[in-house]
Amino acid sequence: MEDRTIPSTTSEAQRYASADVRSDGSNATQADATSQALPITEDTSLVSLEAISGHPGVPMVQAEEVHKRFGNTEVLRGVSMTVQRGEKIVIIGPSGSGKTTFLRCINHLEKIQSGRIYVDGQLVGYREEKGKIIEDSERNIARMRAQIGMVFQRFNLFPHLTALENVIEAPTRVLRVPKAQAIARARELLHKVGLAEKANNYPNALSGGQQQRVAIARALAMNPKLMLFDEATSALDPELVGEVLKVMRQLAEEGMTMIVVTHEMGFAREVADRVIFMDQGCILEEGRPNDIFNNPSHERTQSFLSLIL
Amino acid sequence: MDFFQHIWNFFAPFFTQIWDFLVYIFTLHGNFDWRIAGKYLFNPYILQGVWLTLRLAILAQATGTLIGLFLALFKDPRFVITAAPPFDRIFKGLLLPLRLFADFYIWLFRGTPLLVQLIIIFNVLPFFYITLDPFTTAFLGLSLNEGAYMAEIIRAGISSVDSGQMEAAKSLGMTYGQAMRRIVLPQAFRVIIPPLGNEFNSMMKNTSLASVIALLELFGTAEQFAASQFAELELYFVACVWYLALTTIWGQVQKWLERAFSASKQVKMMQPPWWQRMTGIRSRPAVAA
Repeated sequence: MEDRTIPSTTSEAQRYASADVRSDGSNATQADATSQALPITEDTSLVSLEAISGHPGVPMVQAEEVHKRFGNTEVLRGVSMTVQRGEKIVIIGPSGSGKTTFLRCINHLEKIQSGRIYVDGQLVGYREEKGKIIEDSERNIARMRAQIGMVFQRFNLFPHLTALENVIEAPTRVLRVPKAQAIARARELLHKVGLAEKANNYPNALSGGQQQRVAIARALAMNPKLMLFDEATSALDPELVGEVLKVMRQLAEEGMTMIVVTHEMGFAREVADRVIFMDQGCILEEGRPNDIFNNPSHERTQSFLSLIL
Repeated sequence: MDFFQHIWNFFAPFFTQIWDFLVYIFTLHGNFDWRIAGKYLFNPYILQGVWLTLRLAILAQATGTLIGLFLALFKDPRFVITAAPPFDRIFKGLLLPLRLFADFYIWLFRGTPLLVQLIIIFNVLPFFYITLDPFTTAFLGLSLNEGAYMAEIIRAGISSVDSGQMEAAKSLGMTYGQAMRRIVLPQAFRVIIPPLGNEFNSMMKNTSLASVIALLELFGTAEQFAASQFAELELYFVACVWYLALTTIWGQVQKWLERAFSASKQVKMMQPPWWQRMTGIRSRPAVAA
C-alpha cells in the first residue's frame, strides 16, 4: 500500500473519506449503520470475479495512436495508453482536452479516424476483413459495449422506469437473464450502493447523488470487465459527491479496472494507480499520483494543478 | 343615465332585430324544420354512419401513425438495422435511399389536398385492375395522408428525448432497435400525445371527405337524406351535432390520456370535485365572527 499523502483541502478529505454523510446530506448516526453499505464480505460484492478475469496477461485497454476529428477540429492527436487489469487510471485536464472524447472512444460511442483501441485483446468498433479495417456490425459493437460499463456526468437514468427497473432493464433485455434472477441481483446491488429502500422510486424522486449511485448499480448489473466514469460527480452538489466517491472507492478496492475522468483530485490521490494529464488532445504527462501532484514536470501540468489545487 | 344604459339604448334596435331573426329561424315559422331534425337525429342509418365514421377514423389514424413512425425512423441518421456481417453493410447502403423516400413521401402527401388524393385513388386504381370498396379506398387515402403528418410529429417527439438516454442504453449493450423500443419511444410518446390528439380530432372530421367517393359515413348519409327530403339544413345540423358529440368526447379522452401519461408519477394529488374544477368556484371558509 503506497503512502497516502494528506489531502490538500480538508473539505475534500471529509467528502470522500467520511462514511458519515447520508444521502440527503445530513450526518449519519450510529442507528444509520444498517442502512449504509455493508462492509465487503466474500460472497457479496459489486464486482463479479469472472467478469474481470478475462484473458490474463493481455492489458485491459490498449490504445495506439488514436486520432479523432469533429469536423475540422482535431480533438485527439495520437493518444496512446495501456491499462492493465485491475488498474485504476484517473485522467485529468482542462476542458476541451479530449479526455471525455477519448473515454467515449473506448466503448465506441465516438468513432475514431485512425489508430486502434483494444479492450481485453479485442479491437473496438472495427474488424479486420481481408486485410482491410472496416466498421463492425452493430450487433458486435453492442456485445462489446455490454462488457464495458459507463457512468455519465448527467446520470442518464431512464425516467419512465423505477430504480429497480432501471437496473434490471439491460440484464433482462441484453443478457437475457431470467427476470427473478435479475431482480435479486439488482436488489443486491442497490443494497450495496446504499439505496435498498429506494428501489421502487422513480428517478425524479431521487437526489442527484442517489441517481448517480443507481446509475453505477445499473452499469454494474451487466458484470462489466471495465468501468468508465465520465466526470461522474461533476453535476452533483458538494455534499452529495462524497456518497458517490465512496461507491467508486469500494469498486476500486474490489479490483475493478476503472478509467475515471474527474476533477476530484483528492479521489485521484487516494485511489489512482496512475494519473494521466491531457491537454489539447495529447497526453502530456502520466505517472503515479504522488509524482504528478507533487512534482509535475511539464509546465502546463504545473499551471493546471496550481489552479485546481 | 349610466354607461350601460347608454349602451343599451344604442344597440337596442339591433338586439331586437337579431332576436326576431333568431326566433324566425329556430321556430317552425322559418326555414328550419325542427321536427325533421329531431326525426333524423337518431335515425338508424345516421347512427350507422356515425359508427362507420368512428371505425374509419380509428383505423386510419392507427395506420397513419404506424406509417409515420417508420417514416420518422427512416429519416433518422442513426437508424441502423442490427445484423451480422455481411448483411449489415447491405442494410447500411439502404440508409440514404430510405431517407430520400421518406422526404419524397412526406412532400407529396403534405403537398396535395386530401380530397384530391381520395378522388385520385378512387379513380386511378381500377386502371391497375385493383377494385376496392369505398371504405378501403377511404382508409387507404386517409392513412397515407395521415402518415405524412404523423412522421413530423413523431420525429419531433423522438428528438425531444435527451440524447443521453440513447447513449446510456447503448453503453449498456442495447442495440439501436432495443434502445428505441424500450427507452426512447416510450418517452417520446408522452410528447406526441397532444398533437396526436389533435390529429385524431381532424381525422374524425376528414372522414366526411369520403362522401365524395360514395362512402356512406355520417356526412354521406346525411347528404342522401337531405336530397331525398329536400331538407339540407336540418340534416346538416344533425350531422354537425354528431360530429360535435364525437369531437367533444374525444377532447375529454385526450385530456385524460395526457394526465395518465404525465411526467411526474408521484402520489396522486387530491383533486377538488368536478363541478369545482369546471367552474372554478371554491367554497369559502366561514367568516370568523
